[in-house]
Amino acid sequence: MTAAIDEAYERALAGVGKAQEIRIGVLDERALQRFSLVVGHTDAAHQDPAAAAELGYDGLLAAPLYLSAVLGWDTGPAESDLLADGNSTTPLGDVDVAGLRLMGGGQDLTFHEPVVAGLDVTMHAEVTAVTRKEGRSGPLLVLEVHRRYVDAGDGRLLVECHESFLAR
Amino acid sequence: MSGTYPEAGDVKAGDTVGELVVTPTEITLSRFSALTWNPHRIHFDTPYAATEGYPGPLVHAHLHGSYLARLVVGWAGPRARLTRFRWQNRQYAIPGDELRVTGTVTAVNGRLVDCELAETNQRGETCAPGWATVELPEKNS
Repeated sequence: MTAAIDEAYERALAGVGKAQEIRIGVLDERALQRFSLVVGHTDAAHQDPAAAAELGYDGLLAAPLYLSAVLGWDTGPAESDLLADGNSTTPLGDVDVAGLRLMGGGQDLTFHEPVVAGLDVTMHAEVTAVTRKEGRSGPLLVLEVHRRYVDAGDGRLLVECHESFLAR
Repeated sequence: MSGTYPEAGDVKAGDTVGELVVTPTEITLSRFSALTWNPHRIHFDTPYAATEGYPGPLVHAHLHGSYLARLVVGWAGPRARLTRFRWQNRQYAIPGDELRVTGTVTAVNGRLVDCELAETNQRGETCAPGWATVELPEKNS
């Protein structure tokens, strides 16, 4: 296990600092409604475009975690290219953590502008740090990811997210 | 207060931000996996989860976070704005677990209200602590 973690640590380090720009595209009203429904935002602003407009929003309001909870915005790999646990080999962009069990540790989000349906959004993502630690059940890696979600048209910062992942 | 929602000046440190009880099911997890394009079997495949030592598929980290955010957004109301939110995942949960989300106002600075949040399971274990800042609407605006 220690050797596997050490090898993964070296591989992951090579991807630290590489910035990625990913076009999310125009936020779809139905997708926002579905996400809000599943997590329980059943209020009018998250379900009814007219109600959101009455509140002054330019479109249906997205749930706070909508942008930062979606794991992949592109088509993604074919099923035959996924790992045995279902994960992509590169769930964190250029940082290679294949073979490790990855768990979300939490997020720190700053909301600069309302995220609403119809916005055209681009995500800038970067793994900013990888740290090797000794946990109670053995060695692990802590990966820190920084994402900025911006309006693709004018570059306005919408949401900023710092997220940590634990890899064992 | 405007209806049932707070406005600036209505709250003080120590006030509760209410309570939310949710019991996620396998269907909840399946839908959340699909919505977030997350193919990790740990969230929907019970036999696979057992191979990693878990008694059931795991509630997604971001679903824990979503429940915490839902409490504070629901309490603050549609005219308030969430400006900052963070949470940590501490303890896993599986379908059927009763997750209780609670919160308390910790500081008030003008229209900005800081809240401390917690999601606990039926055994009293903290699954996810959280912290939020909301901007309340002006009084009578």
